[in-house]
Amino acid sequence: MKKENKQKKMKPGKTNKEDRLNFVKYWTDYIKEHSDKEWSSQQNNLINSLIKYKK
Amino acid sequence: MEYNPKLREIKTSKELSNLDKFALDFINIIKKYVEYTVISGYVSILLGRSRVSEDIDVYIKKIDIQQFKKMCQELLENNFWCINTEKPEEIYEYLKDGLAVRFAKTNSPIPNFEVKFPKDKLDEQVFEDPIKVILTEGEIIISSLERHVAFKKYFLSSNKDIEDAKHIENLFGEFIDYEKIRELKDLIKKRNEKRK
Repeated sequence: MKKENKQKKMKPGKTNKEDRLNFVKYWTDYIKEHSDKEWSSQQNNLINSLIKYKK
Repeated sequence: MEYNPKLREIKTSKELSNLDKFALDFINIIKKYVEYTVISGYVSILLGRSRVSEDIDVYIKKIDIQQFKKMCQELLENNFWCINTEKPEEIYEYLKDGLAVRFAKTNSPIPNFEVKFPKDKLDEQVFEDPIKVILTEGEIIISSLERHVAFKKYFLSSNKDIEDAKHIENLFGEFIDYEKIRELKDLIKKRNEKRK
């Protein structure tokens, strides 16, 4: 039997604008429910793939 | 991430991104010479927003040319350069004329800091109620949450800006003073009308 994915689900928006705002809500809920290390690791996958920085 | 409204401090043990490291390197130099407040998109990104920006906006208080030159010298010694001109006098003139100047690491225009002097009283107020964000490797001074939300919603107002504001409202809504936001909204509206 297929295992149920227990991750929180996001309601799709009816417009692109609404969908994007729904994702903002989904992501801020994720931040509240996870440790700083967990959410920032996700955020850094995005930022560090685009922004390179050497001292 | 914890916000203490009495102390006006946000503490986070987030892993620093390359953008955060760049921000700290620049700020750790300029704070020795001038009072600063980071504003706009990077405030939301620093506090977890899932997007990237190639620049970080910062207001610095007006300082005299000698102090400004010393700051530029230390920036230069640490491989920062001004994209607009190499001469500190010219950078200073641009700022005095109300223009923004950009500083980046040598040979790397991205990311960069967009630096400006406040243009009017409303801009100057960013120095009156800032918040200190305490990171694992340093501190960054940002504009108040109310000011951030008000400017994003009622001055900048693009979809991206509305999302930046929503991010902050979703995370810190219980601490946000919505009366203050209404006051700022009115001031922003009056200023926009004046500028027309």
